Amino acid sequence: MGFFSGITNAVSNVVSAVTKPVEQVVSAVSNVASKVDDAVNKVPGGWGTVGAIAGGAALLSGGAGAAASSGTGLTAGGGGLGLTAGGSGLGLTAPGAASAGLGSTAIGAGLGTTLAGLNTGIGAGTAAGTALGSLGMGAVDYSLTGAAPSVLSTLGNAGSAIWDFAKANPSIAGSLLGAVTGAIGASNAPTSQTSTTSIDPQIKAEYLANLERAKTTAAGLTAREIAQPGAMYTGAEQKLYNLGMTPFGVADIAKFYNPFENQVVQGALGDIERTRQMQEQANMAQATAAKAFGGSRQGVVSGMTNEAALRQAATTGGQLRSAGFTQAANLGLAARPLDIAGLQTSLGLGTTRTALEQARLDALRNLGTERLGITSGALGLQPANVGQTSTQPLYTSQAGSLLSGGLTGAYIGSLLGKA
Amino acid sequence: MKASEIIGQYSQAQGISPQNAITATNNAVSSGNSILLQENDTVFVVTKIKPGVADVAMFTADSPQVLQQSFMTLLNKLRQSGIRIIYGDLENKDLVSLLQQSGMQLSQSDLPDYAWRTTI
Repeated sequence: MGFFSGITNAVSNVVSAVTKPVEQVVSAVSNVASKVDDAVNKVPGGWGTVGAIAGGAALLSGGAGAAASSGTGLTAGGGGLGLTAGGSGLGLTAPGAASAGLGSTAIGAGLGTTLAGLNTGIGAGTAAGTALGSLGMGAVDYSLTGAAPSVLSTLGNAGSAIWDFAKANPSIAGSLLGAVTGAIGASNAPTSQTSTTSIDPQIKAEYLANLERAKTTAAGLTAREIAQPGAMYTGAEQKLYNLGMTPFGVADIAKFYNPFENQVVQGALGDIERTRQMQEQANMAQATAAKAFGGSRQGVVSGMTNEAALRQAATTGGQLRSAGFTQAANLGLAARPLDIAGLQTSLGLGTTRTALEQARLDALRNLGTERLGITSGALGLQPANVGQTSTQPLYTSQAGSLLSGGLTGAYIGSLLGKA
Repeated sequence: MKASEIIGQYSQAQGISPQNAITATNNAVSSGNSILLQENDTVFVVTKIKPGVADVAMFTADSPQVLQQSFMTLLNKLRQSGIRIIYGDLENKDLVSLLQQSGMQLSQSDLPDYAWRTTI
């Protein structure tokens, strides 16, 4: 039965305590819950593989852990350099540090602060021991105990465990030793620096000369001249103004009348007249045949023909002229925005010409300023170490360099050895 | 939240006695066969079956968004520890669902005490 299924059937001490007083039951549950909470991300013995998980979790969370200076993992061979988790922070302790010349108190405090994030993850007693053990480390003693003559000599006696760990885990070992040596370096770092600055006399003279030129140039600057609009711009502007102020009217329409309209109208009227005459002749022929020529009947028929012809002529002429007017008006309306666009194009061209003139005027005015800019730029191109000198003492953590170099070398050597 | 609170709350939501769940968890951890892993408000009870193989039960009070992240973190920790095959129960529906959403194929358990197994 899996764990999850099992808990539904769990027969626990709590269940068996139902016959006990309520306060005892509550107390029992509270104690059990507390034990569960304490067990989170911790690993009991026998959990070899999962130990890495718990150790990792402790490292990540920086959870509080009871520091134990013994276990498995990084060992410094007894009285050498090591780490011990003292209280809530990881620090270095070196009882004989004063004589060892390591400034142990400062180092311990520095590391305790710097490595507070790691907190007791590494030194978390059994959990961390198991965790590091899962990484393949040997026995651990994080404490710096005994009289350590020096970091290097202590490490020299550190034994094979730290060496093996360092080869197998160069990044972890590098981080640890980097922190240690960094702290050592920080404790010995100088608290002040010396800096000397001077300016080359020739450079200084050029600066002063340039300053004089700047003053002269500034004094000689005249008011900026504004270019006047050209004839192209002015003409287009005037026409555009006039066009905008003139309402669309008869004159605009008249420009688009069909010049052949009269011919068209007259042609149509001629056709009607010819038709009327042909009808009239037909009427007379019919009247003659009916012996009614000259009578009232012939007069009535003739009158009707003439009246129809006149009406047709009037209608046709009106339609033709109306259509001509409408067409001319539409053409006029369409032409106006085209006229405006053309004038605006002319305005743009005129503006460009004016801008060119403005640029010419500005160039003439700014000639002195440009010359000054060139000399100022040249002064900015001062050669290195000519105009200024500076000295600053440097500090190098030789121990840190040596340790990291040694570890890296050992690791590379182990790889080459395997190859 | 504390692990006991998460286990109690989740168990109650699943219709399981919180006291039973907490006590059973404590017994399992005390016996040395199980460990608790917590990320955010999600707890994995990991019970060792054999090297590289474990029974995993999940209790959570995380929101769905946080749960996804907690689940992946805990799953990665299992992988980093060398655990490759996990077993579980069908009653642990949220765990089953998360495993399937993560693209893992659950198959019938070849061990009598469990409902499913999967390779992580």
